[in-house]
Amino acid sequence: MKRTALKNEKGAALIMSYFVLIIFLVFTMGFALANTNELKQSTMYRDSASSFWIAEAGINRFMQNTSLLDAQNPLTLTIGSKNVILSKVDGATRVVTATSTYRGQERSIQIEYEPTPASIFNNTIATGFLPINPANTVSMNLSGLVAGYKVTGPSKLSGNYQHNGFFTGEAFNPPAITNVADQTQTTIKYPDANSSGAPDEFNDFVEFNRSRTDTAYANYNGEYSSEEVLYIPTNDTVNIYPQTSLVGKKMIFVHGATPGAGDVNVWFDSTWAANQNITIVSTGSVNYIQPLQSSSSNSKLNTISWDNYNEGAVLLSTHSGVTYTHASAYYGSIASLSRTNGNVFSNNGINLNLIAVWKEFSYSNPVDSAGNVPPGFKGLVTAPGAGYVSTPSNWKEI
Amino acid sequence: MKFNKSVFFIGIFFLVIIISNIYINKQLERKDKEQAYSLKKNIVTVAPVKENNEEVDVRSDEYQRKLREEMSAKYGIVITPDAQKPASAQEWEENLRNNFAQYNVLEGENAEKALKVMETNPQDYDKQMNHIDQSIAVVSEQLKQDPFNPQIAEQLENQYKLKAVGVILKEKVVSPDAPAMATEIMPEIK
Repeated sequence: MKRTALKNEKGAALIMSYFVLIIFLVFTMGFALANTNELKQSTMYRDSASSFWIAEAGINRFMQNTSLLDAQNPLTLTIGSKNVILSKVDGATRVVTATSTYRGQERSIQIEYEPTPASIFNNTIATGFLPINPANTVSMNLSGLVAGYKVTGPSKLSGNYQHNGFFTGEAFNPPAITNVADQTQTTIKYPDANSSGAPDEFNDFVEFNRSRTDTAYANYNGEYSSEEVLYIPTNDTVNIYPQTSLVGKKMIFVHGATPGAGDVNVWFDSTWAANQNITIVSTGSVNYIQPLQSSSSNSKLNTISWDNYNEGAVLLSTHSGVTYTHASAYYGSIASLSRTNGNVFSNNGINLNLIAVWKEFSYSNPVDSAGNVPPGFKGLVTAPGAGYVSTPSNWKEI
Repeated sequence: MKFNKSVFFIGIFFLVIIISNIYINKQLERKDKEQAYSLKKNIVTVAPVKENNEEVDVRSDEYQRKLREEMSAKYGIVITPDAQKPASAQEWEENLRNNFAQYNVLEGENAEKALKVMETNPQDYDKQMNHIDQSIAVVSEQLKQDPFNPQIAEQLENQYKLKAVGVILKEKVVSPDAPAMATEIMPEIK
């Protein structure tokens, strides 16, 4: 009986029908799953695209107003009903990032601005106020005896110039622009290099210079090779004499632990060699004793100091390069003809003490044919938001 | 061997189900890959941080001693602790004489050219050194009246340095045949 039942083919149609039905069911489920997934992808793509264009809108807002992040960095902007976070880092280049998140989809766009030499580099002398009484009145002071100074090239002073002593005087050609109310035209600031939110602090000065000179530092930016830089972390006084072993160096940074520590004495020159362009940076003061670089050697010795800059000469002296001090510049007891070919930028005024001698400051363009300022000056700003070109040079999605 | 239709159809049935599942899985994987290409994921870019397991205390006495030796040997850079700083024009002169000799500062062709530019005659030299002496006297008096003024102390130290350099350079740059005024040689170095 059983064998008969198994042998006949009654009911095969039903099984076949089930079989076909199940196949259709499986295919239907498969396509349904695929379609659901497709819908999900489309939604994600749409949200991601929205996010991208919101970020792009944020970037455009910054390009329209490059001082947008000066007061607050980072800044959250609302565009329509969506938010975009804008942030910038001012370093060797300015990097601006816009990030937008919409329904869990985050997109970030980054643009980069090349630095540009600030207009302050067009001056022979640019200086803020001397720390003397009455406050905020005098930028250049000459004390001496039968002595004077001459400035050839544009000069911008936050205050006035004055002289005292017996038979002293000064000459500016063209006449100096005095009482410049806008400090951004007369002083140089450090960008917020340590991203603390406040620019031009001592730690910004340290970070800015260390990241360019300390090859063992985590934030070393590689702008110059290890052969071109020298990092000297010390609170003691560093004496630099002309040495052939310093030929080819771009930056020497003497890093004292506190403001004013790590003074540097520069004697005569750094190399006696031709075609050099070196910048000596100190967290303390820079004392340039008996400068002597013959201009025929086509060499420049630039100095940057957080504390005062002091220069003195007992015999004929010539100096080519840029001098920048975050404090005051003192030309003390120059007893023979002394000439500076370059630029002097002093945030807290210039004081000259001359005896029976004539000091000359002559303009020399610090920007080379490739548009580069001297080592250590690239990225310095005269005001927050300044120091970079107005059009970005690079765009990328990160 | 007799062909068993039931077994055959049951086999086909499971085979189709397996193939269907594989097909759907493949489709879903492909979509995921496409999504990875077309949609930007949240990427956090972190600047490469150098491993520095051995934290060096650059302010330690040992590090500073090595730094002084290295700077002196490699670059002729002399690091002077504040406690050992010369305190008078004579001490500066002695200090500079030693350093100039040790690092051959005033030797060589380029140095000779530079010294030539500084050349002066005995009368001018004496006059300029007198000015420095006067300045030292004036600033010393100021420091006596205001002994804790760092600005004046710094000024006096710089006068000492100038005096010391002037004395050392005398043998190199003072000559009776030198121009009467430095201005006379200025055009040469323009």
